[in-house]
Amino acid sequence: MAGKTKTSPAVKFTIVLIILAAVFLVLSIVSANLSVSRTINAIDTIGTVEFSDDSKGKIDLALKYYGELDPDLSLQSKVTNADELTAAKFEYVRLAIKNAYLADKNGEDEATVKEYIGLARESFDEYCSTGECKNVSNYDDLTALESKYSEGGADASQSAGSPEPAEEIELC
Amino acid sequence: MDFLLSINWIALFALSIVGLLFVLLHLLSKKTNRTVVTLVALVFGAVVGIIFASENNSYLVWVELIGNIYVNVITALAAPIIIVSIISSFVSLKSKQAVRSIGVRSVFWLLASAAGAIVLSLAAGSVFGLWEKSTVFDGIAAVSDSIVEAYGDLKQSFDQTLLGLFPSNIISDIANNNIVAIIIIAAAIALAYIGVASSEGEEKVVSFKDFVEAAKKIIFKILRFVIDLTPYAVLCLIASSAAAIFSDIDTILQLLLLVGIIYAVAFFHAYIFNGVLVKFVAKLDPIKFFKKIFSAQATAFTTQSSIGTLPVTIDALENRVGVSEEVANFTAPLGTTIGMPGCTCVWPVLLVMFFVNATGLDWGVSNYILLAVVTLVLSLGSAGVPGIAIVSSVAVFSALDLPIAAVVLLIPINTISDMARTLNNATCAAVSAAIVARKEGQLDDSVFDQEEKKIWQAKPKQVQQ
Repeated sequence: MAGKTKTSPAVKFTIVLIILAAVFLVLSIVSANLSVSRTINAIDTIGTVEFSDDSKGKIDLALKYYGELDPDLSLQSKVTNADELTAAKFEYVRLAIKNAYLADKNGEDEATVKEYIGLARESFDEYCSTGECKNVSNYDDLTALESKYSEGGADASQSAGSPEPAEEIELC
Repeated sequence: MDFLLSINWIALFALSIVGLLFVLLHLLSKKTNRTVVTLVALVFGAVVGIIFASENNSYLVWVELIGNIYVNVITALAAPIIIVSIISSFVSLKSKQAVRSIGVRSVFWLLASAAGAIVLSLAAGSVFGLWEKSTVFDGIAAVSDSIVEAYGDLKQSFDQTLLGLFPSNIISDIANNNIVAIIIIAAAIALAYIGVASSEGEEKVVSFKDFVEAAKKIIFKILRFVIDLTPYAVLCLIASSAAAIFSDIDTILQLLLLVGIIYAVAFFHAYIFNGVLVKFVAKLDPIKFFKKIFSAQATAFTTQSSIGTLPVTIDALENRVGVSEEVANFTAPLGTTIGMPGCTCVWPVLLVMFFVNATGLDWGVSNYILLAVVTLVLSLGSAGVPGIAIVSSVAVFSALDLPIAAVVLLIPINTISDMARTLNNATCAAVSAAIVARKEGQLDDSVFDQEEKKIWQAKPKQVQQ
């Protein structure tokens, strides 16, 4: 074994650290790119938005992935279909409000209508930050329904004997 | 894929880079002295911090963890060191008069240094009247009542502060690093030992003395291990601080002048004011003195904890400056509670002056005298932990009937200025210890005159023991 120099533990440790640094750097780059493509795929998966748990689940997953993108690397700006995600959020809220509106117009019982109004408000609060209500075309319907079904609101309108005339319901 | 994406690889990359820098520091420590190694660690840390600056310091989460472990470990050593050192050294003095003399001189020089810091801060605040057009306090009304109330709860009345300095429960005082209480407990034990030894003979209590000496040897052995890790911890702590500062640079830029003046006053007090005291009262070469306590200053700058720095300060005073064990272990710990010029004088005085100038309050000489007196009184008792400056400034603002919300608006510059303030505190404690040692005839000039490199290599603590 003559001529073969023995590597000291310090040198070995340094080599290990250099290799680890290189591996972690590569994994950092790979994971950053993967996190962007994962988000893009999740947004593509949303497809046509419906007022359903499945559709909501897809939007939530895409939002989760989008929120996890590293702000220091400006990864959110690399998501090419981010506008579709925003549009999907607003569409889901619009459908939720529409659902409550239809329930009211179809004369469903008060508890059911109130439940749908609650779901619509929940969706709005979850997906629309302050000032974004203008992006939901039927937001006024939600506030009108909330006002109507607020404490004594529905009873008051019924006891007044002035039920609203049936309206032509706009299809979604 | 989820596994790959669930791991913060950049944090691990930063950790491995820091590991490589540790290797460089280790190699450097074999060739040069501790001061240079610590200085290089500071530079390495700042560079790492700037490169890996990120939201919530997420890239440096592991690096910060290493730094925090060091701070916790060295803080854990503070109370045992003070207890065994004070008992051991005072028992060997065998005189109550000597204990009293060290105590009185220590309090006097620590307060004198604090008074100097107050005067300097007032002078700097008056000279730099550039804050008059500041709009920082425009949002003062927007600070919510709950926040103001939470900060208001931090303040304590003077009698409560004084009461808190004295021991109430030995275990909780030690657990909470209530330094004055710990000193009082240790000094009481030592004085009782002297009393029993002189009245009934030392053989009755000598086993206790042997136990304390054995405990001291063990604790200082642990301390030596921890102190040898200081440059590595400095690198980690300065990296996380630099990253936090760099990621919040916009806020800091708005208050840049105030930060600059806090640094100028803290450094002027630490090096010029104390330098004069070192030269003419302690009769030592100031440049050499500051070089010898640089490891303590760097630890203070990076840990922002006066108590956490204490073991390093005591080590530097004893082994490199030549201050006797009894003075180093009494005055330096006292300096983490009494005085603390950076946190309890420079910071609150400059904040008050900043507020007064920015809001155009009509303050006369009497108001400034009141500010000086209130600050000096409050500097009598404060704990040497990170964040104490906020408590001090809330107490000063409250005592002067100024809005506590103003302190809240200046919190963003607390961390960056705390580094200079803690360095100032540690320097003041070390200088006061050197002065007391000189006045008591307990300063070994032969230790001070030794070359730093020789001391580093010889590990004198082990040699002495």
